[in-house]
Amino acid sequence: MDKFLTFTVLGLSQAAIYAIASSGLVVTYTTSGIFNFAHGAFGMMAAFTYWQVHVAWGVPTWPAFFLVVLVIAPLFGAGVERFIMRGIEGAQEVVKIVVTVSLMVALIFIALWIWPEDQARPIGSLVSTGEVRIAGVTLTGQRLLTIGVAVIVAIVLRFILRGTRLGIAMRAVVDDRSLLKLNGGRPGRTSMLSWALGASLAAVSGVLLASEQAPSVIPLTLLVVNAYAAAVVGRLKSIPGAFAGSIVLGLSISYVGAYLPADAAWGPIALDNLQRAVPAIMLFVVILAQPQVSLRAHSLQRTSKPAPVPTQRLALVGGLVLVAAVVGFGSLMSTPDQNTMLKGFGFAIATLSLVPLTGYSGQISLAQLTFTGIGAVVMANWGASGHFGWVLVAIAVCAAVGAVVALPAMRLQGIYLALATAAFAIFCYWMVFQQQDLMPGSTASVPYLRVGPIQVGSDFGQLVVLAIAFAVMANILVALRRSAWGRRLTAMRDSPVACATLGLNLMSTKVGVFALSAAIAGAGGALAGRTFVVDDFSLDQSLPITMLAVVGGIGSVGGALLGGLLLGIQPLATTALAANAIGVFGFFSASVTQVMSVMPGFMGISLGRNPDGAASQIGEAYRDFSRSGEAVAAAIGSSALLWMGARTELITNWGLFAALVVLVFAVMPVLPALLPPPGGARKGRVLPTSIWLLVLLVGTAVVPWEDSIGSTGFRLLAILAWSVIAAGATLGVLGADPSGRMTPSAPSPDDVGLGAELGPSEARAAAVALGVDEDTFTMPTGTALETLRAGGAGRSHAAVSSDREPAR
Amino acid sequence: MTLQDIAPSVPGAPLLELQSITAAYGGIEVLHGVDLAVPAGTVLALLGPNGAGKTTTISIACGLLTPTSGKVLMAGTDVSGASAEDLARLGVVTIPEGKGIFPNLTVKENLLMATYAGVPMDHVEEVAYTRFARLGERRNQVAGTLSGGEQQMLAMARGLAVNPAVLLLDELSMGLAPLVVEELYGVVAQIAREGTSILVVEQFARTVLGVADLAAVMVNGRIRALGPPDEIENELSAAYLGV
Amino acid sequence: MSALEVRGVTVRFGGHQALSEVSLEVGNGQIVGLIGPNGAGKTTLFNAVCGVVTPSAGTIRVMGRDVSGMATHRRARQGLGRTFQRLEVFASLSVAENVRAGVEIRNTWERRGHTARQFLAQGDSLPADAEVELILNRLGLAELADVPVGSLPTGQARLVELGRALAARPSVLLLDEPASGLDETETADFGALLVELAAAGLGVLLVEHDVGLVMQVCERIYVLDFGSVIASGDPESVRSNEAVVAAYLGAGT
Repeated sequence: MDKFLTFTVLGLSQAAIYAIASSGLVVTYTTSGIFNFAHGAFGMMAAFTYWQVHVAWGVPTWPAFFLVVLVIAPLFGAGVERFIMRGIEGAQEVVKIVVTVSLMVALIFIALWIWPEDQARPIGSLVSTGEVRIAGVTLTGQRLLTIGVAVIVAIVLRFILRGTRLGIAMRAVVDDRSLLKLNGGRPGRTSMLSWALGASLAAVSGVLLASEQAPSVIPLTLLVVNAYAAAVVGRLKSIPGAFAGSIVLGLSISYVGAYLPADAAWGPIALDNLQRAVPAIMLFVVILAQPQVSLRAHSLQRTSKPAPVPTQRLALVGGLVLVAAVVGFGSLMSTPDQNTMLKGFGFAIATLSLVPLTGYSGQISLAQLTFTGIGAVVMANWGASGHFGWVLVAIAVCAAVGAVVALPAMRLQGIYLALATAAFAIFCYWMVFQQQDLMPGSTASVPYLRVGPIQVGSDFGQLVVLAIAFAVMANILVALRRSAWGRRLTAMRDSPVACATLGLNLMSTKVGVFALSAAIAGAGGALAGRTFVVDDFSLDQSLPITMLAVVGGIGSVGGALLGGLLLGIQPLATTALAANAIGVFGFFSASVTQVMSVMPGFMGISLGRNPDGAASQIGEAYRDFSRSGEAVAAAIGSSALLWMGARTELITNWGLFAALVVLVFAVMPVLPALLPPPGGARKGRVLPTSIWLLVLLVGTAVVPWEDSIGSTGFRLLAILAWSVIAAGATLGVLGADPSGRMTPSAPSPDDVGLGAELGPSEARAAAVALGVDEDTFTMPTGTALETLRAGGAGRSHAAVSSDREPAR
Repeated sequence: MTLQDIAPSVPGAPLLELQSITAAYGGIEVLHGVDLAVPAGTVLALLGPNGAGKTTTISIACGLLTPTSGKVLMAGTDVSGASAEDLARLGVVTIPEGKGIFPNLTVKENLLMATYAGVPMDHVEEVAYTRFARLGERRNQVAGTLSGGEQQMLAMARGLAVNPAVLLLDELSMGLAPLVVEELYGVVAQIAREGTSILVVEQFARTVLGVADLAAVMVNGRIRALGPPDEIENELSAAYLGV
Repeated sequence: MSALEVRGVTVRFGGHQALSEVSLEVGNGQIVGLIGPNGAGKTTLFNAVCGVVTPSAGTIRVMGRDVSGMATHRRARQGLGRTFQRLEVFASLSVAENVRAGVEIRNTWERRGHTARQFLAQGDSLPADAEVELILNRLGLAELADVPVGSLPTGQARLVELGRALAARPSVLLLDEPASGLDETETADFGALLVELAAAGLGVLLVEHDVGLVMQVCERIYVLDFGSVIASGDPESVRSNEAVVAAYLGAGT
C-alpha cells in the first residue's frame, strides 16, 4: 500500500509537468492552428538558458526563474510567431508540420552548439527545503512545488482564456480570423501573445523537468512526446482534457515502473523498456480512438506549385550520371569517406521514400528511418549472406509493416497522422530495436550485397550498389508519377472527395502508397552495407529526413537526393572541417561544422517564406540548363575531363573540387544564355564562350588551394567567393544577359486571357490596340477569344452608374 | 474618432462610396468597375445571382480585400487599402455571409468581441438583450449551438450595439424562416433611422426590398441596374423565374 | 426502374434538421431540376445521396439498387456521378489530365461488360487517350487540354468537373450549379449538352440558380425550402406556384 501511494504521488508530480507542457501545446494549437513540434525544444532551450543565467552567471534562483519564464521565453515565442509562423498561415498541413519540425531540429543544434555536451549542467532543485509527509507518503519540496505550479497554471489559464478579452480573442482567432478583424480585433497581435504564452508554459515545464535531472538536449526535447500524448486526449483543443491525459500518463508510467519486474517478458519479447514506450503506446491508442475525419471538401488552401515532373529520359540520364559520378569520385575517396558516403546514400534513399508519400499523395510520415531499421534488422538477422533474395524479403516485410501501420492511421489526416507515425517510431525504438535478440549489442550489421556469383567486397562497391539502387528507384518513381497511378495520387491530394465520387477507394490507395514508401525506406536499410546502432533509428534521426524531403522540394526526386546527401555529408564535413572556427562571438565559437549542422533546420524554417521548397527556387535557375542538350553535354564533358585530370594527378583533389563548384554554381546557370538559341541568331559566340569556360575551369583547377590556404574552412569560403566572382566575370566578359531573354513581348491577341502572365492590363492593351471594345476581354476565355479572333466588337451592356440621391 | 465625426468635413459626401472598383482573385478579374454610393441613413440592397460579385463587393468595402483599381471612400475620405480592423474600429460593421459569429465562444463572449469598436461591454449587453430577449436567456450558451435565427440575431446585435457609421450585411436571410427574416430586417430599418449607411447583399428577397431605399442588380461583376426598389423588383422576378 | 430514387431522406446536424423526409425521383434519360433559396439544403441532399454525409433516415437507390449503406466510392461504382458547387478540381493537373484521371479511376473498378450507360456512342472500348479527347471535344475544352486547371476561370473549371464526372460513365449525374460562371452563350450550349446527355439515357439531377436554364431543360422540377420539398411538377406549374414565389422572394410585400 505504501508503495502504491508513493508511486501514485510520484506519478502525479510527473503528471503535473506533462500537464503544464501539454496545456502550452494546446494554447498554441488552438490559437494558431499550428501544432508546435518544437514545443519540447522551447522547454529545452529554456532549461539551458536558466542554467546559463542561474549557474553560470550566478543570478539567484527565483529572479533567474522569472527572467527565463516570464521574459525571455515569451519574447522568444512572440518572435517565432512574428517571423516564422505568420508566414505559413493557410499553408498545407505538411508545410506547417515541417516548419515546426525544422525549428525543433535547428534548436537542438543551436543548443548543442552553445552548450556542448562536454560537461553536465545540473541546475539544482528550485526549492532546497526538506520534505513533507502526507498520509504516510514523503513528498520533497520540489514535488510539492511542481504540483502547486500545475494547479496555478490551470487557474491562470482558465482565467485568461475565459475571463479576459485578450484570451477570448485568442479563441476567436481560431474560429474565424477574418471575423475577428471585422470586429476590430488584431489577430496578428493575438497570435503573437498566444505563442508567447505557449513558450512561457514550455519554459516552466522545461525548467521543472531539468531541475529533477540535469538537462540534456535530446532527451529533454523528446520528453515532449509525453506532452503530445496528454494533449491528444483533449483532442489538442481542451486544456482540462490535456490535464486528464497528463494524469493518466503520469500514473501509468509510474505504475509500470513500480510493478513491472525488470526481467519481464512476453514470450520471447523482453518488456524491460515498456515503461519508456508507454507514452508512445498511449499516443497511438488515443489517436486510433479519435473519430473518423469525415470526408469533406477541403478548406481553401494555399497550394504549392506542383514539382515539375521530369521526363523519363531526363530521369534516366540523371540516374546514369549519378552512378557514373559515384563510380568516378568514389574511387578517389579515402575508405572512411566512402563509409560516410554510404550513410549519405542511405539517407538519400530514406528521403526518396517520401517522394511518393508526401510529394505525390500529400500524406506525411515521421518514421521513415524506422522502416530503414526494419529493413536493416531483417537483413542482418536472416540475410547475413547478403543474398539479393533477402533484400527482397526485407523490402516485402517493410511494405507489410507499413501497410499495417497505415491501415488504422490512414483515416486520420495531417497532424494526427504525423503524430501516429511519430508514436510508431518511438514504440519501435524501445520495443523492437532494443530487443537483444534482434540487435545483439544494440548493433545490426548489414552485409554487402551478393547477386548470384557476384559478391560486393568493399564499401566502395556497396556505394556503387546504393547509387544504382537510388537511380533505379528514382526512375521507377518518375515512371509511376507519369503513370495512371501517379495521376491518381495527385488527384487524391488535390481533392479526395472528388476522387471518391469517381469511385476511387481512398483507403486502399493511401495504404498502398504508404506501403510503397515503407518499402523504399526498407530497401535503404537492407542495402546499407554498414553497421547500424540503435540510435540510428530514433525519432530524432527520422525528423530531419522528413524535413529535408519537403525542403528539397515536395515531391521532387532531385530534391530527395539533394536533401539526403546534405544530411549524409554532414559527418564527412565533421571529419574534414572539425577545427576550423570561422567566428567567435562572446561566449561561443562557431565552426564550419556547426554552421552546416544548423543550416538544414534554417532551410526548413525558410519554408515559412517560400512554401514551395528550396529545390523549386534553385531549380528555376537550372531549368533552362537542363532543357538545353548542348549545355548538359558541355557540363558532363567538362566534369569528365576534370575527373581524368584528378585521376592522373595533374590537378589536386581540392583543385577538382573548386573547379566543380565553379562549374555547378557559376557556369551551369549561365550556360544556356551563352549558347546559341534554337533560332541560331548568335552563332559567332560559341567559340569565345568555349574558350572562356575552358580557361576558367582549368584556371580554377590548377590553383594550389591546398598549399596556399591552411585552414579547410577558409579554403571553402575562398572557393565559394571565387565561384561568385567567376559567375560575374563570365557574364561580364561575354556580355550575355540571361534575364534579357525573359523580356516579355507585346501581347498577342491570341494569347489574351489564356496565359497566366497576361494580366488585365495586358489584355486591355491588346484590346485597345485592336480597336476592340474593352469589355470583351472580361468575358470567359473562350468567348473573348472568339470575339477577338473575329475582330468584332461586342458592345457592352450598359452599366448604370450610381445615382447619388436616395430615392426616398 | 469615428467616421461620423469626420463626416461633416466633406459636406454631402455619402458615408460609403465605391468608385470604379475592379477586383481580382488570382489574376482573374471578378469586378469590372463598380460604382456605388450609400448616403447616410440609406439602405441599399445589392441583388443578383450567385457569382455576380456581390460578396466581393462587400469584401472590398470592409477592407478584407484590396481593389486592383478604383477607390473606396468613407465620408469622403479615401480609405482604399486601410485594414479591416482599422475600418472596424472607425465604425464599419460587417456581418459576413453565414458566419457572423464565433461558434465556439459563448453568446456573452461573442458580444465582448464587439467592444473592440470602442463601446463598453455593459452597453453592448444591454442593447443586445433588450432587443433580442432570447439572447439574454442564452448568454452562457455556446453560440454554435444556437439556432440559425438566433445566430443571426447575435450577429445583428453587434451591429445594433456599436451604432455603426456603415453597416455591411451579406445574405442576412440565408436559410432563415420568413418571420425571423422579417424581425432582422426590422432591426436593419431601425439602424438606418439612426443615420447609418447600410449595404445589404441578398440573392433572393422581397423582404429586403421592403426596407431598401435603393436597389441595385449585379450581374457578372457589373451593376446592371439601379433604382427604386419597386422598379427593380419586376426586373428581378424576370431574371430569376423567367416570367 | 429509376436512375435515382430518394425516399424520405432526413439529415440532422446537431440539433439542426437540414433535410426532412425528402423524396424525389430521376428517371433514365430525364433531366430533373432541384431549386430553392440559398441554404434550403440542396447541396446537403447531394452530399447525402453520394454518401459524404450520413442521413439519419431514408433510402437511396441508384438504378434500382439500394446504396444507402455504401461508402462514397461504392456508390460511384453503382453509377452515381456528381460535380461540386465549390470547385473540387485537381488543380495541379491539366484539363486533359483531370478527365484522364476520371477515365483511369473508372478503369480500376469497372469490370468488363459492366452495364454502365454509354453517353457517347463510341465510348465503349476506346483507349483512354481517345476517350479523353472525345469528352474534351464535346465540352469545347480541346483547346485548353494542356492548361493547368488551377488557372482556369470558374466557368470552365466547372466544365472540367463535368467532363471528369462523365469519364466515370455514370448512370445518373448530380450537377451542383454547373452553369454559374458561364455567360449566356455558353449557358445555352451547356443546356444543349444536357439535353443530349439525357437523350443518351443519362439521368440528370440539376441544382442551378439560373432558373431560366432549369425551366428550359427540365422535365420536372422539385423546389426545396427549409429542407423540405415544398413543390414539384413540370416547369409551368412550379413557376406559377405561390409557395415557390414566396420562397424565392420572401414572404411577400
